[in-house]
Amino acid sequence: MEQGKATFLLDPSHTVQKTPREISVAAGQTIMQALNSHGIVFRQPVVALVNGQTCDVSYCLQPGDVVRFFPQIAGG
Amino acid sequence: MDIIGKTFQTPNYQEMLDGKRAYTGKILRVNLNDGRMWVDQPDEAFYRRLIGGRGFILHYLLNEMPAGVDPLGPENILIFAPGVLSGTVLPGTGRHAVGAKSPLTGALASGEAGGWWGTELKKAGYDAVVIQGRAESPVYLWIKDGAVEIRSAAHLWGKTTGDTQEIICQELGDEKIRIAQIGPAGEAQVLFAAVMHDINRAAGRSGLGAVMGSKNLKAIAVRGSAPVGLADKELMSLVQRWINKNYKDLMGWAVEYGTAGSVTYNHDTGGTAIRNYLDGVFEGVSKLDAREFFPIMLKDRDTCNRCPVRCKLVVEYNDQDVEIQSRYGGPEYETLGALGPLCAVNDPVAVAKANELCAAYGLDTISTGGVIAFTMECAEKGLLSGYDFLPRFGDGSSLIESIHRIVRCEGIGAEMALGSARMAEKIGPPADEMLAVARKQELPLHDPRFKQLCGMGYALSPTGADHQNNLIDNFATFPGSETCNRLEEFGLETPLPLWGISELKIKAYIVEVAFKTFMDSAVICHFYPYTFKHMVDALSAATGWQVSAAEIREIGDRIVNMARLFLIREGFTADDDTLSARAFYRLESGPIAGKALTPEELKLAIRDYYARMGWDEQGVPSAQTLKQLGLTLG
Repeated sequence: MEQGKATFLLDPSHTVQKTPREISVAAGQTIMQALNSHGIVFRQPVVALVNGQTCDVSYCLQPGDVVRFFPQIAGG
Repeated sequence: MDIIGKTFQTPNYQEMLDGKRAYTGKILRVNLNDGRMWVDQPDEAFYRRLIGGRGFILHYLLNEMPAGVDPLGPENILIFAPGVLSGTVLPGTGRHAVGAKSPLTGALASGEAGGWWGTELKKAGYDAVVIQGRAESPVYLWIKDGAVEIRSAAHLWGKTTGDTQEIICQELGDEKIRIAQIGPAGEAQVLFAAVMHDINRAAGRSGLGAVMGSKNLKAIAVRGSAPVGLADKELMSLVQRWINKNYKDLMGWAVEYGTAGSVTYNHDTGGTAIRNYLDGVFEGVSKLDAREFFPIMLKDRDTCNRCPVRCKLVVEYNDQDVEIQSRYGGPEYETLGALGPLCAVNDPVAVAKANELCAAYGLDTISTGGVIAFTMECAEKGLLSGYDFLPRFGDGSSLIESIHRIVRCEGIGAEMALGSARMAEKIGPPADEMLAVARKQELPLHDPRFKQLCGMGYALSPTGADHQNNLIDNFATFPGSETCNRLEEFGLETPLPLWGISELKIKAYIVEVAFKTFMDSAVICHFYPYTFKHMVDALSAATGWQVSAAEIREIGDRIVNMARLFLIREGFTADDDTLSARAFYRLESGPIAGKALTPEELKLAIRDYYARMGWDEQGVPSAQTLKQLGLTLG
């Protein structure tokens, strides 16, 4: 892991464009800002997990954070 | 009085089917006390104010049923109501509502089911069927193209839903008859018995099946041949074309796996309650996800009238010990969650078998899972004694045995048949600390500790805890979601913050619940990503009325306020707008560790909601609010 960076773990089947399974993003920005700056667009709304804890996408990334994304599907 | 053999033919049957609008203008009335049948012919203003579904249900409950009646007595009124849009060519309208006063909650019961029954009723000439009284012996109704007959159901009593459907279709000589019915659970008046349609589509919640059972009404069989009309086919085809072009992108999740594909995701983010809300992580949960169980048992996919999505599952399984019949469909997310993680069962065969039994017996799967999980915890903590059988967490065979015993009202099953809230009252403390209910109804599988606005919605819901007529927080926390699109139509800032209940989230909840209430009246599937604009076009096309987004919102608000008036009339107060203890229990580990509202935070949010709705501090709508919506108090 690069210093001062957080890691996004991505499932390419969840994103509109081709995306690597893992990317490093700068800490000090929100999850949403990092997604936008890397042009990552999900096929459907997602919820983020930061280091195993469910988080809002307004969460400010810290160095060393590992973030995963889960599609949100209506229940029925 | 013997009412078997009584018949009724609606006058002017052909005349009303002019194809120029999507409703017939006739509501069938049936009194089971004496077999009297007639039709109501409400004016256009009635339809425009109430739309159908939940709107019609509340109209009859408020205007024709005295306050305080026994929900299982003959005075309760049972209403089957499609809506103005039901049965039209618009995808998602293969749906109708069923309602009554709930025996589980004492409040409103209003559930919606997909399939074909509602469409068939409209094709047979009726916008709704309103049932009152109680037959002396088991009967069923046979409605065909405006004609109605009361027939004996003595030979059907005790039969499963699948067998009942087979016998009725055989004796009436038509395989295409659509049937609304109860199974043995409704006959036994289990307080969370469902009304089943096409044997696998449930108007599941709040004990509607028990109400039907209390009336000795086994089934309503329907066949119709008239098309549902439209005022403006071109306008409707615009909405139809939009959804047909976009549904694969916007509803890809439903096309691919249905809601069963969300089990792992919901678990991993903390959305699914585990082991009666005690655990944060459930090993082996992925075995219950569509990705893993499809190869083991998926036989086919199924759908509702005019729906290209086909989100429904058909499962089949056979081995030495277990047979699962495909005619009962397959388990969806709520069912998988309630009978799986909530009971700590990760065996997909046991959960699918439990789902099949719930459909065959006619039980609400959410409350069934909820009450079994509650009983499992009480048993584990030694609060139950003297029973020859008690269910155990993680034991699939005891999950299945519990369902049999609930329907037979045998041993602990007789207690479970009353629901977890009544069980907790009987057991006494500390059982109340293990309860996960709102208005005595078991919570759906959207954990309110994670989805906190949704939790407020559970507390406020006139039907007891309900995830559908609600705003689920995480559906509006990411830009571009369908919920965000609707909120933006009313000028609200999006996306919403994930945690807590802010002013913005309460405003959003009000708009979304008005929309969902319109959908439950129209009656349309919530999975479709329609916006207010789509509903403006669809309603205008169906009726010829020139409606606006503001009118769609007002229809929803009116029906929300009617439901509130019903609660007040039935004796509910602001103190009842709350959640039981487990909704506030904070986990020590897992994705939502340490998260939950406090009871005080919930109370403050609800007071804010009252004020924004134009209700007083006790949650009573003000005279001015009611006047604006064309309603009166009492």
